[in-house]
Amino acid sequence: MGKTLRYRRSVALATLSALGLWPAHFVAMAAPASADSAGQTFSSSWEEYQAYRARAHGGVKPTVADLPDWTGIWQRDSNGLLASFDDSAGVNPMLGRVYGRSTASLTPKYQAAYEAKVANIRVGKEWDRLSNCLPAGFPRMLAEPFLREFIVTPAETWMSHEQINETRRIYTDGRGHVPDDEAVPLWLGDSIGFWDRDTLVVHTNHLKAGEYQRGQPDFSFQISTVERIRKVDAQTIEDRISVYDPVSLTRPWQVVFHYKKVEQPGLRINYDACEENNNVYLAPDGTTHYIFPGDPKYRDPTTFGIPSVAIGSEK
Amino acid sequence: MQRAYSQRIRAALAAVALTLGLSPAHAHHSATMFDIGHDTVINGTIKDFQWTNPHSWLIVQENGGSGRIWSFESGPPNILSRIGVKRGQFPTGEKITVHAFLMRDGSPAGLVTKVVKADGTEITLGSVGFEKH
Repeated sequence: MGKTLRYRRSVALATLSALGLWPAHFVAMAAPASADSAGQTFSSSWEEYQAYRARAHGGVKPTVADLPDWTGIWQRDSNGLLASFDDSAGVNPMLGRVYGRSTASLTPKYQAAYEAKVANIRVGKEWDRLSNCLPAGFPRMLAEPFLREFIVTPAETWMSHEQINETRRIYTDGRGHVPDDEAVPLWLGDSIGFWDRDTLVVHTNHLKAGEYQRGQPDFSFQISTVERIRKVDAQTIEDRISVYDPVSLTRPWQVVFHYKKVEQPGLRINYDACEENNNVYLAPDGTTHYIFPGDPKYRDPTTFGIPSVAIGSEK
Repeated sequence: MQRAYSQRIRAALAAVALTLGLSPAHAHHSATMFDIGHDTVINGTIKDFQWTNPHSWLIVQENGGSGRIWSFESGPPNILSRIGVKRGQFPTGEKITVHAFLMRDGSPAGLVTKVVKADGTEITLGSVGFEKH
């Protein structure tokens, strides 16, 4: 079924559910099944990764000439659902607008936390840790709407993201993960991979806990993922991810991301300094608020971080 | 004629941006503090236009008796420039009409959707995405 058709069906089902005309559990059943393309199931991300590796006979060590052309600037195609992780599931009828419905199968504790989060958003209480100028991190980075690039070399592939200038490094030089007793949780974790013809297969662990997107569930420090990334046509790069987290998920969450090539002439990605003018804060009542000009705590962008002698010299 | 042509170009860029899902309103923070969908019009004079990350801000002094200072949030320079907005379009001292989704708590601030200049030129600045659902 085409993505557009799937999306329309999901929106229709969600709308019917919101109107009480379609049982909610039928909508849940419309979610994508959690299974590998070959129908295999795995007990861990590492097991899934190793299965792909065996299937690829260990993968190939490519030369520059062998690598696929992923040049250009790309952007997530999320059907307008900016606050989604699995955009195939349509709008979350509880939140509407840009919030996508979650298809994660959550453990009771994380389900309760997610329901509380949704209930808070419905009454205007929402805080996004990006407001602290922290990075989206992984896997949320995959779900952000800003521009991105894929820099492919034989030994490493970089995913460079416009938002807060995040750069994720995926090592394909044959190295293993950082040993557990040396690793520390990182926003982008530790990613290793191999090439199976034109597909980059990636395993990621050692991640910090976080949320999949605004209005989406949370995940724990136990999260790890497997991705299969490939260019499916000249305009589309696809990332099929299996998310494992025994603390927050009852079964792997399988999601497909699509990135469309942005063809705007002269387009470039500029440096994004989040602290430049960040006067947003979490109010005691749980709402997001601002410090305005005139408040002694206001950080004026015309002077913040500028040498005093240079203030006012801007063109 | 030239202005009409440039407005058409700008509208086309904004349409392309919409197609791509580029949203000036997609932010590094929640948007629940705004009364999304309730368009309010403020007439005022530009005090400052902050062309900054993570958001641009248009500071406007309301015309008339109150003289209230309003802070209107918009997208970051990267996204605004991609939909044809230029920093020089908002010179200090110019009288403008601002369309915005104001903050629910009554603070003198909002999410700007468009600015209308005295000559009728309209500049789309935000709220894209929030209007789609």
